[in-house]
Amino acid sequence: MEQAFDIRNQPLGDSAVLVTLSENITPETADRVLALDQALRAAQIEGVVDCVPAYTSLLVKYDPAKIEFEHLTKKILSIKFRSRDANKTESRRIEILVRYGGDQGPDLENVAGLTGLTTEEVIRLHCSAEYTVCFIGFLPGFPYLSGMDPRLAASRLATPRQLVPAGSVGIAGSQTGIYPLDSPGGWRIIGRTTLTIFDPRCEPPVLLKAGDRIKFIPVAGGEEINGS
Amino acid sequence: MALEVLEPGFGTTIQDLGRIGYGSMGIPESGAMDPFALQAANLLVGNERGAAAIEIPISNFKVRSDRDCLVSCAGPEWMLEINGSLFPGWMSVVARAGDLIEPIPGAGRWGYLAVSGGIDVPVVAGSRSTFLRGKFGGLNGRTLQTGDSLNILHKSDPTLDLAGRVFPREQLNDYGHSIIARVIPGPQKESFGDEAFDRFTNSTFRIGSRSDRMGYTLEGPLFQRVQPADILSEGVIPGSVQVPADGNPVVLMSDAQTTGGYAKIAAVIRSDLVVLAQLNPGDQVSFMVASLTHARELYLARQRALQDFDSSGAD
Repeated sequence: MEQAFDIRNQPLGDSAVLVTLSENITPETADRVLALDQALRAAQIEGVVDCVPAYTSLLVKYDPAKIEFEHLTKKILSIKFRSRDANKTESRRIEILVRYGGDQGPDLENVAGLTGLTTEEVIRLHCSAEYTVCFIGFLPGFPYLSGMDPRLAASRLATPRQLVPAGSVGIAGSQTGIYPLDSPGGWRIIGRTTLTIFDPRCEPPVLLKAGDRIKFIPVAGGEEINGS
Repeated sequence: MALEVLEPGFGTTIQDLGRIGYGSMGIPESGAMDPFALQAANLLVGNERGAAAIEIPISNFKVRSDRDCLVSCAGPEWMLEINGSLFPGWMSVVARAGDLIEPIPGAGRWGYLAVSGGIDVPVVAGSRSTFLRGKFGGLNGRTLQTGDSLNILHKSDPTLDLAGRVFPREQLNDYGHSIIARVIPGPQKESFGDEAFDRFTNSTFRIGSRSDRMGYTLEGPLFQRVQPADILSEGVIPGSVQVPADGNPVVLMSDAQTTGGYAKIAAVIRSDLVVLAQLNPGDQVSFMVASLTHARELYLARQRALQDFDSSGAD
């Protein structure tokens, strides 16, 4: 589909343009954000220093010494992109082994309580969906995933934890995600993976990227998890 | 050569101009809170503008060098003590092997100690900047501690003849304890209503005590959105003025996360963010709308000030 939508360009300060593609989170919008991201990177516009995709928008950061807002927004609007491109070229499928419950998933029981499901049902529903990485944000490598079964929706903790260990898999509202590093956090933690999703010594330092497809695989408590 | 940390200060880190181009990985920009002062400090000692230097919050920090080197300390009204002798800030000074090097805090919140050659720590995601929350960059991803040894990048030709150079006073930023920061209205400005935006630009705010490298809280009138409180998470940059549900605006700073779900009433322009960064808790700021054209002129003027000083050192 050709670019036939009403794209909105707004300044964010004097060195970024917020390009909003839609008001609603849909798989189609996510694809279009990624397609625009890829097309903009490929265009290599002088002065553009970074692009940050999110649910319905792309933040384009620029060096005001090299390009002006009006000129950049015109270029953005002139870029032709097709949603299909994002999927075709970039989509990977990654399996993530997770130990649910126990010390690794201290909130599994209360998620079951809040959702009216058994802990087994929570695990089964969480593992049966295929998720898409909408974008990476909040923390280095933290994936915002779409595709969680709405029956698993559970509010954040009233009081965030001081320390959520790296690899923790959590639920907040209708979202699920993985903590890339030890961090304070208010998501309800239902399990943990030993897969390293952020390693500053690597280039690139993050494992996941927008557009990746993810599947969680439950691992029994005693089993050795081989992340890779 | 190396610097030995004798007194670490409180929250001292290694910073350069930060990580640009990693936003899609969730990696914050980090980098100096006052990149202008960092660049000036580097140029004074003959470094590349974006070399890594030591960012010191107001506190007692002291190092000893094991070789002769050129040092400078840049920050609003900061000075530099070498073996007990006091030198002005924004000036290059020779430190001999064994000398005690001690930046003396001034009015501004951050001082930058640059050393000829630059601080040598591993480059992580394109930068030597410390990101404390992610525990990476700088020296092992943490603040400096007593006994740390900081390696200096080797320089075959020490530029001690640059000693005594001074950054022109008239080219400094308009630092102060009460400033006006210019802003571009934010993407969600409309959702606060016109009356609220007028109040935003006609009020004086105090910098709150919960202010750090991630963000500065603003104490003053509260702001509520006319529309629902939160927005879909979207990309943010340092300078963004977010308004969380409690109504107290927060100015995002160097270590800000890459995306945020709070409405942004405005964003501070780059040339004024460095001045705002130098405010201490209790200092005052008010906001004024600027056009993008004016913001760009101001930004270019700041860049030119650094360029002019850089080229004046070449002859």
